Amino acid sequence: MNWFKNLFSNIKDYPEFWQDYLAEFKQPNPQRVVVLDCETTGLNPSEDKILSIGAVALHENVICVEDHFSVFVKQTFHQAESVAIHGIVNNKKNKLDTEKEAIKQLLQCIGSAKIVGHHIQFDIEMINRALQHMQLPKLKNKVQDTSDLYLKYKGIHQPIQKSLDDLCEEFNIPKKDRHTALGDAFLTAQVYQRLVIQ
Amino acid sequence: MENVIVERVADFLKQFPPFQEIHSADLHKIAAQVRVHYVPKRNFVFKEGDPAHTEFYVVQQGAVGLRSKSRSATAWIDICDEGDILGLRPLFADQTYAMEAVAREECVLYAIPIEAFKKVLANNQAVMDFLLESFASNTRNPKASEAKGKLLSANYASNEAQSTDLDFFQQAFYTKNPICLTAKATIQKAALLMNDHKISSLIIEENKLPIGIITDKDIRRWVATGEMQIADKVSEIMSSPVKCVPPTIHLAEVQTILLQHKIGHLCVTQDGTDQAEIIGILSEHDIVTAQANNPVALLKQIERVSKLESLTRIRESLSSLLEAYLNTALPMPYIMKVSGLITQALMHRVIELSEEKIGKAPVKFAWLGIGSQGRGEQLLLTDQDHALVFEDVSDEELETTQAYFLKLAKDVSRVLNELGYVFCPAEMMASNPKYCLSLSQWKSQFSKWIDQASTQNIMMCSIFFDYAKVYGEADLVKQISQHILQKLKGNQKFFAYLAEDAVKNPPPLGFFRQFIIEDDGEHKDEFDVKARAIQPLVDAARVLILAEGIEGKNNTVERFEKLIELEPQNEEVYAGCIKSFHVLSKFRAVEGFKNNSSGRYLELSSLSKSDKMKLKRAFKPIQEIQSLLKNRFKLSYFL
Repeated sequence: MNWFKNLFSNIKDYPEFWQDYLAEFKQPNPQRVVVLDCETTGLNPSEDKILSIGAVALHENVICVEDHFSVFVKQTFHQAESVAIHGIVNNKKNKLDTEKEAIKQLLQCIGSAKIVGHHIQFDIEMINRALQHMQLPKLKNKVQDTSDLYLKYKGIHQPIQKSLDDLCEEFNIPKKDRHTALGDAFLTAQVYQRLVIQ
Repeated sequence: MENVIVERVADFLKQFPPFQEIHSADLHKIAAQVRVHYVPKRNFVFKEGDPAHTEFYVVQQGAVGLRSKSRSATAWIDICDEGDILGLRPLFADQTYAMEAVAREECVLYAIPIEAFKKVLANNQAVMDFLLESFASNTRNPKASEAKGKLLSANYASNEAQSTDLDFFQQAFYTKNPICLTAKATIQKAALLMNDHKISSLIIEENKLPIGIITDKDIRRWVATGEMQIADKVSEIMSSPVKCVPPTIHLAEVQTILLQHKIGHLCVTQDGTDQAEIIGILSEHDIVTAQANNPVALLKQIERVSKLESLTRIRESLSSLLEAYLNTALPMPYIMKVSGLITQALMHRVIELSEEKIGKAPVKFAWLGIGSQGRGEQLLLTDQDHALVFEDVSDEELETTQAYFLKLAKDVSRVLNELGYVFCPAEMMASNPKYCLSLSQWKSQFSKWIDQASTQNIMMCSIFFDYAKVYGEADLVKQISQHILQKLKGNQKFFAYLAEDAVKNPPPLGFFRQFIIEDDGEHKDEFDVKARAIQPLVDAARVLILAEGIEGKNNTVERFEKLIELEPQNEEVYAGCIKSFHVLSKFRAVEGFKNNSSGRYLELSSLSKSDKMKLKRAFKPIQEIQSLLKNRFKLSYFL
């Protein structure tokens, strides 16, 4: 019954960071795009959790290394196989934040920018679920999927599945730091550049 | 927390100069501010006249071509590939770009904000120097002469060179507070003093300034022969003035001075002149003890040995000495000089021994080294190239005279071959009747080569015009030189041919993957540093010095030095050529010693980025000297 609750609740009931986030949309900066990637415990949004989020921004299609974001989330349960892929285990040297803290920082980073990612709907879904746990509405940002952009770029109409690895190979982008959120975000940002700059 | 993007960017940058020189913490600060550009093929990074960007660029992937519309709309000035830096202009000069930069293929550029970088530059002179040079080597704008000057003078020593064995850069150690004597003292007093202190020389001083020197040898020569008395004053027999050097002198420089002046002692003074207080004395012996296998010792040994094995050993010592020198940052001019002097002495000794064996020559003759031997530019073991000229004899005697010299030449050639200087495959050797001629025969041979200009004859000229006397009568050589210069005087047609030959191999533009790689069979993927870079400089120096009618300058560097003297307006070009010649010769020699080869072909994949940059910079003066040749000899009519 969330919609019902939202409908009647006053916007001022939301925490300050969410209000700051909303305020960003009043003066959007269309030149800024944030490329984002989440590492999760699995591929099922209803069961799995976010382990880390990495993001890097482009300004006028130039990747700005300085404008990046990276957070590791403290989760109470871990699935062994996901650890094998992402190498994220509890008690690693990385400082872990609570999910709430991580989402708060994420909102600060993305602001009103368009969010770009490879198969980004999954990441958005994961973030929206986290927001839901915090009794907050969904993300308001525009979203663009690099796999959709790729089909457009190629002029293909029937959907085909291309992984980030496939695209990196096709565009001759050296694959490094695959399966770290920030590393994947950086690779995706480079793919994005090739898809939008002509 | 570790940031993988910053790590990746820093990892990439630190592979290349000047980022190698930057402290890791600073490099990470820079990497954190990098902006990553993607530039599709044929797009501009910047255009000529564009206002300067606030950042400069490092090519991470792809290739960017630089060109200038005001110079030539089509020719590339430079091509930057992975690790190359471009767009440095705002860091140093005007606020607009002097060239346009176009992506030759799709590129990823790491842009470094200039403001952020300046902070690092402020306390890192090595990085600053590198960028200045890099800027200068990409600048073809003649107005940027200030930066160009840096290209010539700033000797960019890479990290490796600085950290390796610095023995040869060591200051020579000298004897402090040397025993001195006034000019009024007697020879006997001097001798007693030398005996007491067990020394072989004394500095003669006046008010603490060195005015002369006496050595064991002087006493032997003047007193023991009875020409002077022990009661005579030392001023009568002292050598004056004294050659002085500053206390900071390198071992290597000391060696060169001792060799050049054929002296055994140097006086060390505060400022290296004889107008400053004496602070020490440096003897040949000091140097010998400093280095067992030193050039002075080798030279001495050559004079004494007579067995083939001993000569072989000396030749091998020379090679290991040169190899050791090359591995240090020892300046190339010293290395080349030492090599030239010893090679010359070795050859001289071989001929001397052969003449002793075969019997004295019936008439005067001169043995000539030709080609690189004639120019005194050999560092590696090369083919033998030589010729012989003998005095004119009557027609009846000609055959027997030539027969004697052929016999001598065969013996010399055989010994040289055993020493490791293999026979010349083209038989350009004195043992070939074609190149063992009387003075008149040589004169007519040169006349023929000069008068009947053909590709073949021009090639012979370029080989035989570089000759130097190795042994025998200097006068015969002088007569040949004068004959040639007379034939050449005002011979515009011949110079045009020679100059045309000198520009036939344009220098490569730069290193861009397959760009300058030789595609002929065996040496595929390698770069012919001799034909493509060294030879053009050698040829240019030769034609220019001959056109000036200068006699007796047979060495490429000396030729350019003489040309600077004659044409100060072209100093920049000629000085650039000298520097290039040294750099290129060093590459060749290092490669040669490493692979035990002629060093002619450089394997591109084995070159580091900073080596490639050094090479690339060395190509620029070749371009300049070739356009000077084209203008001067009006080659546009020919080509």
